[in-house]
Amino acid sequence: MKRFGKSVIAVNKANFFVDDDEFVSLLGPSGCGKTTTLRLIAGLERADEGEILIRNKVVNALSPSERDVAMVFQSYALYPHMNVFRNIAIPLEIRKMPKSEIKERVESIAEMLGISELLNRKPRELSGGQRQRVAIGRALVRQPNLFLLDEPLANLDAILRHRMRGELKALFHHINGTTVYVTHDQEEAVAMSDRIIVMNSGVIQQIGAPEEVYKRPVNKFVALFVGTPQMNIFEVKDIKSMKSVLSSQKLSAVEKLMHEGRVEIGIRPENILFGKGPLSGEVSLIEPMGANLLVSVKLLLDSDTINVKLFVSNTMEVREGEILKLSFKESEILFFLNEKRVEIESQDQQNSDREA
Amino acid sequence: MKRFFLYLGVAFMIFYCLFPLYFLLLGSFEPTNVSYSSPPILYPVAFTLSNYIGVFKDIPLSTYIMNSTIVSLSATAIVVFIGAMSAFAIAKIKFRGSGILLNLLLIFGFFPGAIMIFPLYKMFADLHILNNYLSLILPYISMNIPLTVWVLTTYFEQIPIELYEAARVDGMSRFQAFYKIIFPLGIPAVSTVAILDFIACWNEFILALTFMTKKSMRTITVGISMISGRFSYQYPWGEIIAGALLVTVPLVVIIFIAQEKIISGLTAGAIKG
Repeated sequence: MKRFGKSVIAVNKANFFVDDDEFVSLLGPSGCGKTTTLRLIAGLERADEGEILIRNKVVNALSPSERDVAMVFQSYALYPHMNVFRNIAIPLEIRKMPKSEIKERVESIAEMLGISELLNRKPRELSGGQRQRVAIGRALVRQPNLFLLDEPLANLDAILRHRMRGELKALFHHINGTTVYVTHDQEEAVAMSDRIIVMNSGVIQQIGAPEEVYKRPVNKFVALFVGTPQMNIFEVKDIKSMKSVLSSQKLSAVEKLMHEGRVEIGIRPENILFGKGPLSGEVSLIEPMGANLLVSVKLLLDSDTINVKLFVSNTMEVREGEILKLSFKESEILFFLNEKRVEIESQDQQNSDREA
Repeated sequence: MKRFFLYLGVAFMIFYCLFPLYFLLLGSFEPTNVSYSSPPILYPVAFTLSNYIGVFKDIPLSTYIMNSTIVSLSATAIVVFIGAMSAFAIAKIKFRGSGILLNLLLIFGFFPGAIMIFPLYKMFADLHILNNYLSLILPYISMNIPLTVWVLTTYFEQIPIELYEAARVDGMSRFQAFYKIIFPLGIPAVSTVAILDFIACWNEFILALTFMTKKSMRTITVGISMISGRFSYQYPWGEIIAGALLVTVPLVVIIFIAQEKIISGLTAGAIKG
């Protein structure tokens, strides 16, 4: 077991820990268990096994109201019969805070969220974005042990979602709250989090900083799930076809790996360089993505044909059917053995160290 | 054309439902010999208040109304209180056997009330609560619980579970979540079912007739049936009709008041959309 800071959380067979004031995302496709994990932490589900700790205290037996966590639901779960003020104030009312103090706190939170004029409205009179703010206000109004956010942006339209993403990040940075954020949107997770926990089928795949998860995914699932467009991954069927891609050192390492199982090579679109290089392929599809064009290329590698996607600046003129010269940034190539990523560099270095 | 048949159907239904009421109303303001004439006269020909005056003279109407009100109101209040909490538990708190419980309630709901009369009479006699409001309030509660729980469970189930969960996370106990969130949101259903319960209690006859033998403890339904007229050979139809109408007046008033309170669409805006 590893320990970070005061807030320690363990879920089911998977263990993870959230640092004080840390913003951690639970990222995974729908049905991967991330929301269940969050509900376990909140106490809305009972853990069958294992311990959940908040501030070094086992909370398994505590009801949600005793855990002192705040949660923002995907559906916002605003109380429809109460106005915005009371919706935000209710956690404080329950805790029997003096009326004047409640008023003060709610008003300052409302101001922070820009909903001061809405305090007398009922939830049904609010837009989606406004409801969202109220739901966040209700969580922020007290200082809980932990903030739990369950896909709070999922119901907003794209523009609003982007804006709220930035606002939320700034907000939670400002209040220094320990936060667990559930999302299926990897962009959101990467943009907002200090660390990301990637889950699939109820099992934690990887825990790491956004950059780490992006650059050094532990397996093929993480590699494909994080990053848009997806990483290019293709199987090495014949080592000869890799000659123009890999240096001779790596080539021999890959050849060795191939005896152990299925070897795949992965490279992100931005790491395929265009213009010159040993590889050439035919442009099969062009998707404009603002500043860049996402170009699909049918690449001929010896006897193999593989499809890769890469970015080309929109100032370049590329046409479908055109033959492009390409090269892979070798340092950024990832290797997967039976779906798990393996480091080849280090082996090489070890070998060369020994030789030297 | 479709519209025409729709309106025709509606008109027929309204006529079908309201005609008896009209006939009662007519009869209550006419001397018995007119309202009892054959063939019946379906329009007002004579006017008299003697039937109403007769009702007040013949029976202690205000006492009866008071008895009925006390019994019905207390039973309804308790039924709604117990029923709402049970329904809340069944709908929102996971526990083993909640489905069985709901079905058991339905089965008990089908129990004919009349077969309980003898055992209840024996029991209430032993407890010395015959001719006591309790002898009606207690059975009325159990008779109305099944319907109440069923209606409210279905309604509470429609209230998003997230609201309950949010309430719990916000620091509310189960009971607080019930009375601060779920119950207020259930008011449309609660008031509907309360009206139904109240009407059922108000109109109940057999138990009221059996357990309340003292004249001063009678409820209004039993009281009206006791109107006998001054002569044994003359049945005072006019007064009975007037009495029956008087019995329904409080119900109508309550329904009109409650209707205004029933605010539908209260849950709109609870979740997205």
